[in-house]
Amino acid sequence: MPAITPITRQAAPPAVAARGLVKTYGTGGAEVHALRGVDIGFAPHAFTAIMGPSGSGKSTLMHCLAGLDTVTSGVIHIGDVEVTGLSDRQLTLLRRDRVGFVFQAFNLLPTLTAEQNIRLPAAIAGRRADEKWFAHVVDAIGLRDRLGHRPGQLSGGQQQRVACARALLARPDVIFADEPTGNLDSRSSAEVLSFLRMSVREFGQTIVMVTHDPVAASNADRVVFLRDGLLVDELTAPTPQAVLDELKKLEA
Amino acid sequence: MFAATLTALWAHKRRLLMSALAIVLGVGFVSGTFVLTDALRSSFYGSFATTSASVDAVVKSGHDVSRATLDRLRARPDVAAADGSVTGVVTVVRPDGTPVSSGNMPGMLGSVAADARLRSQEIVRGAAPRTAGQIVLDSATARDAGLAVGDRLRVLGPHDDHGRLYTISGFTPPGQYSGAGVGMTPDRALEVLGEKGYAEVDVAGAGGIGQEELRQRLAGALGGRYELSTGQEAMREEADQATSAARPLTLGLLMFAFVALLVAALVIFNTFQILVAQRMKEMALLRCVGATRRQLFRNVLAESGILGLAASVLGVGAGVGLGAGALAVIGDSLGATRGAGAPLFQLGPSLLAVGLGVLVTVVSAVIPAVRATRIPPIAALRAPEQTGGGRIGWPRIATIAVFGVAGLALAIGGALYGDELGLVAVAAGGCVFFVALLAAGPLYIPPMARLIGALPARAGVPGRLAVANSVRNPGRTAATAAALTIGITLVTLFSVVGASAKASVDTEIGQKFPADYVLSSNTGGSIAPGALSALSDRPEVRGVGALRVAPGGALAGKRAMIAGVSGAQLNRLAPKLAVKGSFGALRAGTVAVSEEYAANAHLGIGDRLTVTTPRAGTSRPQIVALLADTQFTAAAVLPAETFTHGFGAMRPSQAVLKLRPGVTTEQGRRAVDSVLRQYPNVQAQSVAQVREQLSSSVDAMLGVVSGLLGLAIIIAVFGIANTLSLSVFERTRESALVRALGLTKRQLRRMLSVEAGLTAVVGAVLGVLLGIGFGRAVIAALSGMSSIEVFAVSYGQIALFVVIAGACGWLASLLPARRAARASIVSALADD
Repeated sequence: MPAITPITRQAAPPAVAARGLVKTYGTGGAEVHALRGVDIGFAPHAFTAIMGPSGSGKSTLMHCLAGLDTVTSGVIHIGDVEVTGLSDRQLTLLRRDRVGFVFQAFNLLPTLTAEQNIRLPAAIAGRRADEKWFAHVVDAIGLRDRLGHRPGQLSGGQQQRVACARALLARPDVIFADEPTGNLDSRSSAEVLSFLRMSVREFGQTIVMVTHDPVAASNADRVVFLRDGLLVDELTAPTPQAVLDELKKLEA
Repeated sequence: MFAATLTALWAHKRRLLMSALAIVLGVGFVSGTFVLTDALRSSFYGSFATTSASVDAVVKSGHDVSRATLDRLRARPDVAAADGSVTGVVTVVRPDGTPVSSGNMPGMLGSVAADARLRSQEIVRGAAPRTAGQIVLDSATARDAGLAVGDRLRVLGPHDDHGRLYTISGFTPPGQYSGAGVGMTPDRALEVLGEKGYAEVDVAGAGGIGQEELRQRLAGALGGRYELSTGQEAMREEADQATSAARPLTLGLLMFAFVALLVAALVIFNTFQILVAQRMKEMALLRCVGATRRQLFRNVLAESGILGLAASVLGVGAGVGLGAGALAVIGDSLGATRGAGAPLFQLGPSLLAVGLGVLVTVVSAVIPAVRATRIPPIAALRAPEQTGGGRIGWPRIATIAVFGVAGLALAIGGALYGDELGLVAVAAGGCVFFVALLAAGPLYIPPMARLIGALPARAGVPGRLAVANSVRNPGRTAATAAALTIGITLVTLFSVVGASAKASVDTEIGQKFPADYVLSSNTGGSIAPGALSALSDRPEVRGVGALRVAPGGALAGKRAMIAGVSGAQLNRLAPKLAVKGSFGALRAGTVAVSEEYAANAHLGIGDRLTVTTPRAGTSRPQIVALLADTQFTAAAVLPAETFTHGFGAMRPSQAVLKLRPGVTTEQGRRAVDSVLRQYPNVQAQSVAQVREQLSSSVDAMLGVVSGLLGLAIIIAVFGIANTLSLSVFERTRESALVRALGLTKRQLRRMLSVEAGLTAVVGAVLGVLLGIGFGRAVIAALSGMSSIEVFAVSYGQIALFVVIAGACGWLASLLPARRAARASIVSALADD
């Protein structure tokens, strides 16, 4: 088993880092230990995938890292901000400025057009979007002619690309993607994944993606593996086959 | 299937809470009214049964029953006791002339029989009047005026100038009437009222003779001129009269109760529409496993039935409380004696109220139930779709348009036609138009919400999202807003009628008010000539012109009230009294007629009219003036000499008073008051007082009506809270998403508050517009029948309604918004 790197050894400080992360649900006899002490760092301008069997704690890890869920113990940093210990309001402001999300179920507001959905975070934050950057992102997702449509009039792949553009527009420190291809067919999945990879290569975006699809994970620069709430392994420059082998090993 | 219904209800109990509350309130109002009505009725029957239990026969005649007849009855061996009974209007003041009840309301005088068996009044303290100088007083007036047994009061009859002093010998229970109620010996009562005979004679039989037997014997002895009834019959009749006197109140209450139920019905309809939409998957699954359409339909109706039953039973409980409360507060003023009433809970009316509640609930759920049957089984397998909902197709639009146009045409036609029939047409057309408008809500509610929402939308993202959310489901928003529209429409309607009544005083009545003061008797009797001469002697007063009014004359062969005045004097003091022509021209051989009479008889200046008087017979004078019909009741006015010639000498019944130029209103008032202190039954009204009186009675009416409609408005606010919390439940994931994207909890709450407030304001604005429109139609229809002729709107008041509605919407959002903000983002975003 290769050695685990708790904190990345790269010179630049990690975009997101967690130390001693523990998350326990319930109390007494009904306790469920979702995370049992995770130390991990995510390099900036890199695409990292989190994998693991069902119940390994990968979604919980992501929710905690993004400040959507509270931790039982441990410390999380996004950039130089310590996420753990922030109030709800501070967390909200943090999400506005530094975090983007892409969800499995797309989660676009049905009442808004594609363009309004993309601009929504900026509008919530009361900021003017960078119009050049907006045009750039819209061209990159290839939906310029669909901006006036509502989510109900778009295909699943198109909706997910709108969601990606929404996450990208604010140029956050990190984008968390939770099973972004889970609801998509293979062709749409490929489109979304190539767009995510491109946004890391060309826009220098940092992306953390939870997935159970080895093909999706092989698009990342690095894959980390969780089992039973613990970080157990990682792969750099993964191939689908290498990821699959690693998963089989974990599930054995 | 029934078990499934019960578990489904239980599973959604929180979502049904608000609509259940709406039914509880609506049914509570209805059953509370029933409780009040029943309690009043049994209290009246109970009190008449105890007070007049020993009266065995009652003798009446078409005219008065004379003392001689009473003496003949008393002399009979089968009569143990007999006494006359008479009632009338009097003025009751303290010895110094100051009024004993507020506003110098006229008092009611009733005779008190010497024999306790014949008394219709109960004496609660002290004793019945034994001598002509004693009176009994109702205890409510005694309490308010701080009077005790032994204190003295002055009582003036309709034609008394100063009246006589009486000593209070005892108290009677509080009366149904708000002025003072006094009782005297029958002889003195007759004298004070100036009556020639008793209204009836009450008889107690001797020696165990049966009531029917006594009635027949007396009828035989007195002859056919008299109407005789047994004590039982008379008692029932009196109790019926007392009950029917309270009927307008209970009918009015019931009307408002039905408005409340109607609003509750809308809330229930909306709730079931939303629940069916939310449970589409569940229903489709039932279809998949073999449930028929009919079963689903019955299932939804059964749910509504159980909900309706449970809530209605609670409502009846609330109603008993409401009714008991109302009885405690207003029972006294209606003449209900406490304790004499029946038990507050009665099975019949309670079952009726429950039945009504269940019926309303089930009927409201029919359309949602039909919608449930349309869900295809395949929907169980599809992803839940975000339905727009409430879109309406062209056939429905056409139907609505036909009804709307028909209703509007009927209302406008009625308004133009005027009269009572026109008013009925306005009401009927208004209702049809209203229903059509509500049904068409999904068409115009979204643009309205967008228009009104432009302001909050500009203020930021929460506002913009709220506006978008409020129009995403037009049917839902329309039904929610409509519930509030009903109440606001009615409140606005009453406000418009009230404002118009006030404005009419300012313009119409104000213009036509003939003089600085109009003098009249507060009992409708005559005025002391001494008062008029004392007034005209005052240096502040330029002159006083008397009107003598007499019945018994006829115009063109029909009985009419005819007055006599000095034309020259009236022309000098109150030229405005003549709206056409002049009183200066009123001399022998001429006549003035009221504007109304002239209009009805198609007469004008220069025409001749046949006038008949008891003494001078028939003449055909020429019309020289038209009399303003605001303050005086006479149909025709003759010159003073002609009048005296035709009717004989009479005391004045009304008068106009003009102040000297340069005398201020204040000085004038003081001068008039100083003279009238000696004449307690003469009242002087200025235009300012008429305005003030009307204004305060309009405000009081508006207050009562708003209070009664308040419940309907509260139910509508529950409806808003209900819709919002159901929508919040449906949009859990969206709320979590916007939170994840950076919306603070406070902004999320604000978003929902704006949505609720917007719905409320849209409903209120619609209600205000409708209320003003209907008000316009009502005023148009009324203008022929009353002195309300000017259309006016109190914009401040109406703006207040809209603001209050918005605030209520905001209040309604607090709980659902808190729940939405508390929800964890992670669990809400988790896939199903």
